[in-house]
Amino acid sequence: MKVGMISEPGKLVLYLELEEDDRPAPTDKYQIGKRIITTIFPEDFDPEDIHPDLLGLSCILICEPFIGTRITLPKPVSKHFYEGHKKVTSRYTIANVDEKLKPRKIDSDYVPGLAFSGGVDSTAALSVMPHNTVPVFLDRPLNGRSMYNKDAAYNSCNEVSRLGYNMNIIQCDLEYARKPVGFPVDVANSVPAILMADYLRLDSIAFGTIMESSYGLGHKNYRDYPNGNHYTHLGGMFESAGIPFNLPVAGISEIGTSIIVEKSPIGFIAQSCMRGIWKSPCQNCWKCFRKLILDAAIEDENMDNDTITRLFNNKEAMRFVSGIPIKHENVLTWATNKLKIDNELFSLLKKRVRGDTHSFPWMNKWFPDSEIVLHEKYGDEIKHNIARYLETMTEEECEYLREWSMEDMINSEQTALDRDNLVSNMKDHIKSHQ
Amino acid sequence: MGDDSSIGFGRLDDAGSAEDKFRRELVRIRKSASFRVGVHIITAVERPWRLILLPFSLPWLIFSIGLERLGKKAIPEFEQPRFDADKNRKSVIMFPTNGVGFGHFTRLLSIARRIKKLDEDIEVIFFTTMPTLHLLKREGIPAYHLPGRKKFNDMPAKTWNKIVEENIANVFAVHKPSMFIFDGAFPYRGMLNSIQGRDEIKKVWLRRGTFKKGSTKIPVDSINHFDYIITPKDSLELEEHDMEFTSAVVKCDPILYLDEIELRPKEDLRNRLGIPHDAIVCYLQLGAGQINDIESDISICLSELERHENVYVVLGESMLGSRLPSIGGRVRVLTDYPNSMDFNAFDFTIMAAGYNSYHEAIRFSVPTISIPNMNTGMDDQLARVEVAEEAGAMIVLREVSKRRVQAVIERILDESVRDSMIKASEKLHRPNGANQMAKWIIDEI
Ligand SMILES: [Zn+2]
Repeated sequence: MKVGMISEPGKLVLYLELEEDDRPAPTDKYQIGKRIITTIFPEDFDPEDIHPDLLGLSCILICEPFIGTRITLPKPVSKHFYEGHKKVTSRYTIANVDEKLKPRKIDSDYVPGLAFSGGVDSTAALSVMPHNTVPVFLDRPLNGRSMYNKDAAYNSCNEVSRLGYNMNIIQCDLEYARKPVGFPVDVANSVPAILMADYLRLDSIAFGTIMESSYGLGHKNYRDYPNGNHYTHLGGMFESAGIPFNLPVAGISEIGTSIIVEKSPIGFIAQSCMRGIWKSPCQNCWKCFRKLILDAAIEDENMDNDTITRLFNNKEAMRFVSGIPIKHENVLTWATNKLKIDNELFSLLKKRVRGDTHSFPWMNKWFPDSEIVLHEKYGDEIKHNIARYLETMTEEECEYLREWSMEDMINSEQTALDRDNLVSNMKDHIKSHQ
Repeated sequence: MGDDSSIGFGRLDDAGSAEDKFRRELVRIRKSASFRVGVHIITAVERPWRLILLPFSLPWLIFSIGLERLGKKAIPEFEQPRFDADKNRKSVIMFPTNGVGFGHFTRLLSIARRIKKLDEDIEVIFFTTMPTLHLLKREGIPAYHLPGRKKFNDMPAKTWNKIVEENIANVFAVHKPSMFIFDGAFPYRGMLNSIQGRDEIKKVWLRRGTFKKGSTKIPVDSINHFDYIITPKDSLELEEHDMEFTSAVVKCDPILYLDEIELRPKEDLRNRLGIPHDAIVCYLQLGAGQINDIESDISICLSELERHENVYVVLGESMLGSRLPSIGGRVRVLTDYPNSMDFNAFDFTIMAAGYNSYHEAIRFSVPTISIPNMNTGMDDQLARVEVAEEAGAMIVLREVSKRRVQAVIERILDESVRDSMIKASEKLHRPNGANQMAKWIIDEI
């Protein structure tokens, strides 16, 4: 893979050029898409000033899945980054190194950055981050066919900015480098922040990565995240480029981030639904389905019959609940367990997600092992802020998490029966309300 | 010019003033519609060929007079007796009116006190409707006071304007000023009458904002009474005047009462008000009145500030308004002039976005949560503070809710946030327009 660049103040264009041993279609699920990636910055920002290591890291995040054995970056990187990258990457190497180039320098008055999306998780992250955090929103230009509505995200960003944060909205089309559209690497949403790290004086970059994505909660098995591939490989690359990871909500489940957003003074800026408009979620997507149930459980409110009828009249949710396990099933277990609702569909859902037998009382608490993935400089402040909203898991509760496994449930025949029961009832419900 | 300081005061019973009185009376009569219509008819009778045109020319004259009254057309110049500029003294008469607050008064006083510092031989006299004359005493500036019309029960505007006219004429007769400066939104008829035809006096109108066709209710004729219009800049770039008038326009930077070195040291206020030196002090000024209403902006701010134990609140009380009730706890009240004297003592402020408050907060780099008043008509407070918001120097609350107030107070209590706001304020610093105008005035007289 070769990446070239052309730039002018306020604009950076990257060209991806495939080489013979590259992998245009790494799996049958996705392939390489657009090969010209454009990022628009403030006028007074000259992309020529980007440190080659930050530029190199950004290019890697855009094309890593498609790289064969080596990548040639637009500018040779420092020896420091080259070595750091090599240590955590075995599949390919960086082709061009500048032995004389000094690694990126961070001053003591630099501030924390955050790859911000406007959603619940990144708002929760912002809520527990220091007040001088600089949020950066990757603004994907729309191509017309997308269901994604930017109104809510823009409004969130606008509100953040109005609270006095140095909110940056940066247009970048890197999601089109992948077909179907999406981030080639999950942390590629931080590319604008990485490119602007010196301009914004960032010493680290935070993500709204929650416990479900880090420690594998709600997945088949617990994952020892700090020693896993994601953290060592990607975290290691970020570290050696001079912009280390900071994962403030990695020890918090979706339940916890929802509680934080509910309680935090800045929580009102969050919008979980990416399809509705500001303050009016679509009520037709999987996220809206989960959020309605979760919010009711958090606020300890029961739902009336009308709300339930509307809740289950959701085709996308029907598709999701037919999975085993259901995506973020742990959230539904926790929430349905807390809710005492006399309704057939609800009871079927509760049964399917084991809310009738499991309460998971530790799931709304902070997992203290995750301290290790907080940036050292901000660790104490973040922990202090988290404690404002959430309790900390006891050692016994931590053990429950470490032993997390859904294998028995997944392999159980009863689960499939419960699923079939729920889905067929939901199908009838949707049909009768069309 | 009045370079010769030996020129003494004039006398009220000098022929000059009596003559002036008759002159002004004469101008008034000549300007009157009845006189002009009468003259028009008589001229027509004297020259019969004009009589034929009378059915057309008379309605045209009446129409023109109508336009003049509406301010759409300038009133024709009338022959004036000449006053001699050589007999002027090095004296400046300043006429601030009372608007909603201290705006006009403070602006002129800011300039006046600097003139006194730069050249103590120059006499600066205030002629004002503002009741706060003791503030002038501190600066050694004598004043003539005339209460505003509304202070008298049902006084007709005509009567009040006549008092203004006579009083200013008397002040002119005695002080023989080289310059007259008015600061107010709308020039009084009585004042305009008294300055009309006084070509020997430089007449200046200090006024914020631009004259715009349609949106300004000021008649062109009123503007043309002045030789200069001084426009202090605001945070936004000034728009150009789009009305046609004869006065020259002079621009200056925002006019502030104090220069940075005049601010009291940080500990001073804390000692006076019994506030621990290590406390975080918030200056809160949001207009009084609704403090007892728990839904009001000021009450929401107070209750949110109260949750933070190391925070003390200093409520700014205006000398002109009603008294604030005492609240107790960690809340103090400050009624000084100007309260910006203690801006070194405040870690942050919560204020509306009036011209003076805004520019003081920026100039003295006080981190500010601004709650712009959205109902101030011509004065666009939101547009003003958005400049500082964009620069990161202020946080602007467009709507006040408990949660938002809580969020922004939590942020501003963080020292690193305040530091970055201070840095951003510094980038917006401009020189003090009061110094610029004081020098300009001294050069002009
Ligand atoms: Zn939705």
